Amino acid sequence: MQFEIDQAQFLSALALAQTVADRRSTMPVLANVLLRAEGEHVACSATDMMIAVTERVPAKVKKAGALTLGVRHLHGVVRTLPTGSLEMKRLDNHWAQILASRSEFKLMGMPDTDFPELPDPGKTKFTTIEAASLRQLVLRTLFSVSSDEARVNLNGALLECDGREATMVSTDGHRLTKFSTALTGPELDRGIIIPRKGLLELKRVLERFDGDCELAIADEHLHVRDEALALSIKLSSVNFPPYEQVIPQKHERVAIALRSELVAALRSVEVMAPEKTATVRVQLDPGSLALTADNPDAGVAHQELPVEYDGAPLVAGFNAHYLLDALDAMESERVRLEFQGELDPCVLRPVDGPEFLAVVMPMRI
Amino acid sequence: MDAFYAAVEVRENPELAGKPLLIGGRGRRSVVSTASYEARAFGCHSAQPMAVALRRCPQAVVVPPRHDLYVEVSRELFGIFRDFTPLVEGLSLDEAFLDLTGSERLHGAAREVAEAIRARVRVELRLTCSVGVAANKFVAKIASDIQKPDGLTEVPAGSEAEFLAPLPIRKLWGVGPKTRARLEPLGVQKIGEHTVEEDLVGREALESMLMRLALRLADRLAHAELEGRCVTLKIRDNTFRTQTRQRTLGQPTRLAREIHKEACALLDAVEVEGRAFRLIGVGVSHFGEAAATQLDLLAELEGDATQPAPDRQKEEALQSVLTSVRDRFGGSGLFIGRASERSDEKD
Repeated sequence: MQFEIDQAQFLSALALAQTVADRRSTMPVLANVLLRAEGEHVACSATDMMIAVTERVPAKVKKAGALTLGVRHLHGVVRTLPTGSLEMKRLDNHWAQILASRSEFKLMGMPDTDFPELPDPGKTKFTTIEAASLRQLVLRTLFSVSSDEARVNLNGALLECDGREATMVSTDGHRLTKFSTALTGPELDRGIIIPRKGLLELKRVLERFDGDCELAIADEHLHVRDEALALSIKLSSVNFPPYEQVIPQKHERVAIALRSELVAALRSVEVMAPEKTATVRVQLDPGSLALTADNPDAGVAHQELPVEYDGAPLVAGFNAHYLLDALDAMESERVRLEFQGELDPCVLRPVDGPEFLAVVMPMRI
Repeated sequence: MDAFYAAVEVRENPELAGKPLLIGGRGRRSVVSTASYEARAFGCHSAQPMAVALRRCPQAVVVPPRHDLYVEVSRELFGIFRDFTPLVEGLSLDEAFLDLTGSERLHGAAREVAEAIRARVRVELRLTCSVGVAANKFVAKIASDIQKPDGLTEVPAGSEAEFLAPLPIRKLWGVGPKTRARLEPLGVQKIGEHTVEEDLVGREALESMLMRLALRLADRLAHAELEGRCVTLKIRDNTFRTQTRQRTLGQPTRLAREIHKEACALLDAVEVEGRAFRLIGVGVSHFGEAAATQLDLLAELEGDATQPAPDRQKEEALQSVLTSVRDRFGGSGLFIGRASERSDEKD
């Protein structure tokens, strides 16, 4: 194996590989990146057995072949090299030599045959989708995916797709987020669950796609790819809770607020809120919404803002972070807040926005 | 080791054998480091002013200490210990705890290991030592003192209380003349008559004591139907230096495990290394203030949305079972694992 490659393009591929490679695995080879020089490309692959990513970087291949190298060191070395071309060559006993202007590095590698086989979509039919749409689905729901290992069935987001529209749902048990958007994707007969780490990687990879990409779901994997870059994520087999049942169908109180005003008020009272629980007291009165954070260790913060509301007064406690996360995932100018009682969930929706909703459970104060 | 410094000096200079020996300086303010058994017969002991010791035993031979030599012998001694277990906790140059847990298949029962160590110390170091064999460090330490010099005392697991009860309280590790002076007027002269009041040494011992205290406190809070937001730790060492640390929680609690967790976190702010503690206490205060509890969305699927999140719910259920069992069967009826580590204590 011997090739010449552009430093910047190589570095970018290695940076992506590094986010996937698993340095703490009991399989040492998973901390490596697999380099395969063939034709006019070098394919850089990394996997942690759940997620696999491969990026093909244009290169002048002088001798085809493959090798795996510790991605952390390789990335560290390539980062220090000058821009422009660098040359890489495989030596005996899985050593690699890197030459660039007056630098020379030798890195100890492992045989490419030790690297696990990557999931192969085979003959699965891919559908072309708009990368940005899928990315929006991830971005707007990622924050409420649970990272609590005790709630395995919530450690991923649910993706449903009927071929025209896709919906992503996530919940950590305290709040739930749901976002739908047009996506001419594959027609799924049931929802799939993308694990949290896979979502983070999907977000990164989708950002690199220019316009369209291809999507396929097969053999318990989700595959996205374009000509240069491919990502596979092993889907989770847990049962997602029947989320429709926890989205409140009725509400006695509806208030409309300016989103930016509500965000600003929440941010300012949040400073005073108890660190652990971020509790704020929300008081709704005709025409006004008042937020109070009372921290016995620090002090009191109070903010009022005008809202469109003419119902009965209500006082409820909420985690300020949960409300802010939901409001930040919207773009609309105005937000609709639906309340029932003080111990019932609050539903936040954009007014005249896309199909987004957030359900936030209150705190008992 | 038996009269370690003195024994080493006799070994190096056999002429001294059988003579009353005082290791220490000759200056006016010198203090006896070690008195040989012969000198002890005259009422000499370590930490005694040299002048007093010489008054009691004028014929004693005074030998200035050779610290480097003792360190060297100590190194050889610990080398022997480490041949039997990697878990050697040195107390001083000539004293150590050896944890033999799990080494039975390799070296035989603890008593056999004790014999083997004594034999090797005798042959290789030409010194004698006394060994206590017991299920915990505290009892082992006391046992090692029982048949000094050159003795071996084994206290079988389960018979600790029986072993300790008839001993005078001064034998208790950590009970010095001051504690004794306070306990004896109270009629406390025998260990078995009283909950053991030894000083606590080491983080582990403190944490397991905190768990016992947290359990009792949780029971009392449950009976009073109180929850507190502030956990206080009070700790006093054997020099009577008292420290208190407290912190306010995000939400009030009456759960033993939460109280214990907070108390242990507070312990981080206390220098524990190298100190012995005679008092440790946990308190909960700031009762009845608003409890902000995050409600669970998915609990609705089970038909009750007003319940706290499931992990805390489980924790509360556990606490109420704990408290009711303890009410019925007493404090040792049911407890959380860590509280049982000190089996030497009677409730």
